[in-house]
Amino acid sequence: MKKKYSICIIMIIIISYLILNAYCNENKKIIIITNKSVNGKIDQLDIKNIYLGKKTKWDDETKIVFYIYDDEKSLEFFLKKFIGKNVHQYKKYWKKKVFTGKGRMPKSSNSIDDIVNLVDKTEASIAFIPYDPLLDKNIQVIDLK
Amino acid sequence: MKIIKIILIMLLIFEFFCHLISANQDVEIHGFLSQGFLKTDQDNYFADTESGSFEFNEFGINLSTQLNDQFITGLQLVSRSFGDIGENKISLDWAFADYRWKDWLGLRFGKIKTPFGLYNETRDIDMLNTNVLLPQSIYAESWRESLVSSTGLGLYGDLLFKFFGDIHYQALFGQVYIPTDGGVSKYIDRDGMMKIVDLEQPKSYNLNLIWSTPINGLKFCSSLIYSKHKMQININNHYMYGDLHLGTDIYNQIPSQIESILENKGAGDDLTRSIFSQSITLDHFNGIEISDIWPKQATLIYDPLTFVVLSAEYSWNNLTLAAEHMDIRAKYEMSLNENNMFLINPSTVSNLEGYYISLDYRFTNWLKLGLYYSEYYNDKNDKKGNYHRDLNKDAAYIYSEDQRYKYALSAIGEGLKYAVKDSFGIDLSDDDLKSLNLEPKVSLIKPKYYSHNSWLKDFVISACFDINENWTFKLEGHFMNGSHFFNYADDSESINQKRFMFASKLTANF
Repeated sequence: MKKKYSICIIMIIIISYLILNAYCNENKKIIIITNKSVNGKIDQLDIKNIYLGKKTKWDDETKIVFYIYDDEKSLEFFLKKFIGKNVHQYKKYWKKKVFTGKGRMPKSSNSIDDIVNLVDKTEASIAFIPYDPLLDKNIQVIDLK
Repeated sequence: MKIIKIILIMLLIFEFFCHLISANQDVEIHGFLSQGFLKTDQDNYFADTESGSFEFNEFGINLSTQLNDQFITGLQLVSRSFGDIGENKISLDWAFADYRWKDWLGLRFGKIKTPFGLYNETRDIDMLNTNVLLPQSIYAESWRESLVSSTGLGLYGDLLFKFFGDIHYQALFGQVYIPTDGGVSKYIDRDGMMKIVDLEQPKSYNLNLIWSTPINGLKFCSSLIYSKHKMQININNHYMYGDLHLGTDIYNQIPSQIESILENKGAGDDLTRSIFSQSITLDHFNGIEISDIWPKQATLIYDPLTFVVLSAEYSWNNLTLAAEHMDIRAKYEMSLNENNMFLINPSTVSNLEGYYISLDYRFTNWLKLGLYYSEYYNDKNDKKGNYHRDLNKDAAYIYSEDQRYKYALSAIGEGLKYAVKDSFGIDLSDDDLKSLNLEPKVSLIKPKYYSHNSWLKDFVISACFDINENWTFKLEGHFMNGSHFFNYADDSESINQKRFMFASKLTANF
């Protein structure tokens, strides 16, 4: 009887954790923003390839500049949703490129204002932030299909 | 002179990058410092690990700049030490220009890291690996120099598909630099028979494909390296270390012994005996000298040497699983330089094999644990090591230096009998010649061979502590079975089948 009771308690804790985790993730939000010079459709696969340095040009051959919002929770959520890596794996991926000479460290900032300003001023740029900036800048929010 | 050239080149490179910085060009500088420690409970692994060794480190610094949207250039200097390999000499790890025309096509030229398997490009960069030592079945320290980078041209690109994932390819053609006193040389010399004197720097063709599948975290990789090697070696005629200079021994040791024999037989006077003894040594025993001096110079050719690796990696959340399999095919021949006689026939082929499976899991931001099990075989058709076990019975092995001298003495004795009869009219008996004696000039080390020389199996447990973004500390235990890759020169007469090795490393990067 005691054993069954213990198992039930453990099950409840696990299920509660999973529900809470799912709820917390549901409340997380990531908005993809680009400079208004960026035309054409962008999908999740494009974002993954951009942030892994595999897609380096837009359809009009302009060089893509991407920025990373280096806030732990937002970055973790973004990477999990779009890239399929955790923060350590992603940083290791870029460090490998840097230390083999086959890439350079992406630009990052932990300030949303900085990220928004960078995208505003940089042609062909893209970034992610945790909420819609709602500002009349040279920025567009990407609606992902 | 070499040091001055290196300093001048470094100054020029430094000035180039300072110029870029002052011209507001964005120059990135990164670096790393790793210091490790190795300790085995028995046998030495590249360094004096039985006593514990700190001769295990890497230091590197790199600079890179983006000249325009498509053009990046940079270089990395590295200094490493693993026992007496590397010895902390500063060398150029990579230095190339990278022009990316399209996503699917880019060009690199210069000295480029060789993409081979999952981890070859990062094998010297400790903070990018969970383990202190990568599985030696694929990433053997012994032939690191032949695989780490090549100087030449490379094409690369990413083929992006909607539903098929993407394929990253790299193709390199270049020249590989292999030092005569590095790991490759130690590997070839490990049995005690050969020593590299000189080698032509080989050209190498390399193709690497990575397929990142549509299943998140799953990728497959295949790598091919094709090269030809030609080297000049000193070779003993059987398995031992040391040199035999029998000819010199004859000149030094024989004349006085012959004089003594002639005096006992009452042949001639002192002066006549002395002149006769010297002249007969020089005139009549040269044949023995030529045929009995070892080591001799030989040419060893690998044509071709082919490495093929198939790899798979799966990452799911904090778990990473990886497995790799390597086949090495070596077609080779060896011939004596003095008479072109083949010691190993052309078209001799060796098939070597290695594989491993690994797992690592990140428990927290600062702790990751890893396990791997690795196996390597010097001959995939002889996994029991019969070849090495049977070496102890081989005629070339049991044919000791005593027998060599006995045959030489026999030839000297016969020649002396004839010459004494001709010059003095005296018959020498076998008893008269008993006092003839040759001592070896140098003492020789003769290793004992075991079946476990043919393989190396390794079970490894690693703990990786990410102290922060810039610091990493690792602890690792190796449970090793087999002695392939161990150098008998480091371990004198015998090597054990099993051992435990402790490894640790501290790394800082910026």
